[in-house]
Amino acid sequence: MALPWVEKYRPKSLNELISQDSIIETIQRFIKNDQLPHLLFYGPPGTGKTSTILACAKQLYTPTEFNAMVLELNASDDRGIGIVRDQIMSFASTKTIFKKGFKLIILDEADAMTNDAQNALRRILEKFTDNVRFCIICNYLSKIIPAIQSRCTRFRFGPLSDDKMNFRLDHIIQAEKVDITEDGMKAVIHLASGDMRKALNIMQSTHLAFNKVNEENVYNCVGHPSKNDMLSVINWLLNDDFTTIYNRLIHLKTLKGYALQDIMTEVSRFVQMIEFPKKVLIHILEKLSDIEYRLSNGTNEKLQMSSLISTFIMARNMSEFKPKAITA
Amino acid sequence: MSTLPWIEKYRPKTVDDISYQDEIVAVLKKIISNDTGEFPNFLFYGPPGTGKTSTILAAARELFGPELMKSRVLELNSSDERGINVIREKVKTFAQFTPSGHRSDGKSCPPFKIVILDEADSMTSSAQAALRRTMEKESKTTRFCLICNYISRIIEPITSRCSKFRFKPLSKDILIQRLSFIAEKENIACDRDTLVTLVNCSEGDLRKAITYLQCASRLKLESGCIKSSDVLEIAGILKDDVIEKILDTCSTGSFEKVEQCVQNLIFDGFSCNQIVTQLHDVLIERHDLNDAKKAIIFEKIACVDNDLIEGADEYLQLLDLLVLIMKQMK
Ligand SMILES: Nc1ncnc2c1ncn2[C@@H]1O[C@H](COP(=O)(O)OP(=O)(O)OP(=O)(O)O)[C@@H](O)[C@H]1O
Ligand SMILES: Nc1ncnc2c1ncn2[C@@H]1O[C@H](COP(=O)(O)OP(=O)(O)O)[C@@H](O)[C@H]1O
Ligand SMILES: [Mg+2]
Ligand SMILES: [Mg+2]
Repeated sequence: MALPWVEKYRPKSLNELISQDSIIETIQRFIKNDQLPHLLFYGPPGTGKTSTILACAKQLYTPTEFNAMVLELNASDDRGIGIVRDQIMSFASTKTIFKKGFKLIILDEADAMTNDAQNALRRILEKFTDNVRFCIICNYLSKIIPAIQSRCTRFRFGPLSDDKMNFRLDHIIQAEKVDITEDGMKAVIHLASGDMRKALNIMQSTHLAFNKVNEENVYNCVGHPSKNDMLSVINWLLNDDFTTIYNRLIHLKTLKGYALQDIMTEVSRFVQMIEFPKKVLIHILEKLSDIEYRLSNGTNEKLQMSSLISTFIMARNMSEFKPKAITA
Repeated sequence: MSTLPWIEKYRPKTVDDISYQDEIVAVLKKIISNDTGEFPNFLFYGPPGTGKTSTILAAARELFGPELMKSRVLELNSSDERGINVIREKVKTFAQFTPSGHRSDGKSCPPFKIVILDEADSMTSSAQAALRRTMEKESKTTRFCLICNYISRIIEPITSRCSKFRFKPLSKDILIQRLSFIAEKENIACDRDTLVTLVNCSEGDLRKAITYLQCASRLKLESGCIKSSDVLEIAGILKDDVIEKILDTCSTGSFEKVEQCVQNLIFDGFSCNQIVTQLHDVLIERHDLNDAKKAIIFEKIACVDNDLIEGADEYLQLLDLLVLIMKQMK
């Protein structure tokens, strides 16, 4: 049965992983010299953390050994202090019939572990260094207590670079016979912003919906404002009067079905590309974050949209403001 | 007359009945027709009453047939308990059993199950976090469909795992079409004016519009004909001249008069939210306020909107807003 592409194309071996070369090289060296430390992987979603450790495990153990040697726990497992004590301890301390060195315990999504549980882990990390290696994975490093951080070798998985993503996507495009244009590819990569999983999901849903993956279809499929529309929006915000901007925005929103949230994301990207004086830029960013906060509370989009216009009208009235025409 | 609410009675039965959401409908029709099982995890988001729940339910019914619906679909919405423990136990257990590729009638059906998490934006972020790896690990046998109004309340590691589809507010034409279809089926006389008012009162939310229509029809059972004014009353909308009067009071510049006006409005039982929204719509078009003043007023309105949601006092919020408008009108 066909799987979602993200699972179908999960890298099976370390050399299939893109963009994280130096991390993988280092880990390979550790393995070769039989010096694997406890590992801590962290970074934004869809950058290969889970895939890397699963590929490592596949390289280290044969399929028959796998279940006896690898324990994978994630946020969907209960991970209070009890589990850490019982499940991890008993897995770590039982001997196996396999002569291989160490067992591997993967604690995926560790940012969801309670502090108590993390504290209980400290001792275990040291006690079983002879025969167990841990790999702790999280999105937010700050959710891991310092005592654990210091017991592990840390690796940051950064957002994937555009050309590396391009390379990997090409492979999948050929395998799935996706009909994609150059601007379609650009749009997928732009919207994914370094998250490979997102890129695959966008590509799969556009491919399913329209067959042809071009810029227009990609933006249509995710309902994200297109670059041209955003250019008009920015120009309105910087030049027109209040009522005109309002009516134009409302018209655009209903015509294309854009969410204010998505318009806001793009506006803040554009704002940082325009060379505003510092004071003006700070005013705008501050107000944008206020609006974003209010929107996340479930406030009325129409009313919040008006305050977006307010933000720009106020900026234009600041003495430091010098309007500049913008292009692309 | 049947007691079934019309929103249930007229809920689309097939994916084809879903109006206006062409992208997702195209995707689902392809999945249903060729059985490839290329069903990704979905995330539907968008304003209320735009067809999110109906779409996934209709798709599931078409995929599995009415009989298998119960065993293949797990639907949890915000009225169910959905803390982290439920996710761990219910969802995980459901996700782990392996379904077959056949129905009892011998027809083939996709060999997976669907977990629908409706109103997912009300799930705690730790409950959402508990979903992450489950979504991947059980992907051979389980697909997830998360539904929410506000995408920003879904944690990034989850949105990254789903194909996102935004449901657009329905256009006026579509709303009118659906409403007149229902009115006809229910034998209600309803002229175009009334339909337009219904549409204007419901801001693209078809559920709201249908509910108003059913309410109005109950009230007007004898006369059999629904008028615009009935709709306005049911929707709790203020007449235009009431709004004008509020603004006139503000322009007098007298705090006492404004205070009295607010007291009267609250006493009359109008919702503060409704007043603020209507003030907004009228003020946008006013030409006697310059843009600098408008900027100040509309920023305030947006803040009041938020404070009301956070549970602030209606009387004080409205007074605060009207006093600010009063100052800007000077
Ligand atoms: N570096 C990469 N090289 C190739 N494919 C990748 C890479 N990173 C992610 N992917 C693709 O994205 C999918 C998800 O990757 P993975 O599960 O490793 O992400 P993650 O970093 O663990 O994310 P999260 O923090 O959300 O758990 C994979 O199945 C794969 O298809
Ligand atoms: N796109 C649509 N096409 C047809 N009917 C719809 C559509 N959107 C909403 N409705 C009507 O509104 C009611 C509520 O829709 P629902 O799917 O529950 O909305 P939500 O998006 O809030 O989940 C349904 O019973 C249906 O009659
Ligand atoms: Mg992961
Ligand atoms: Mg719903």
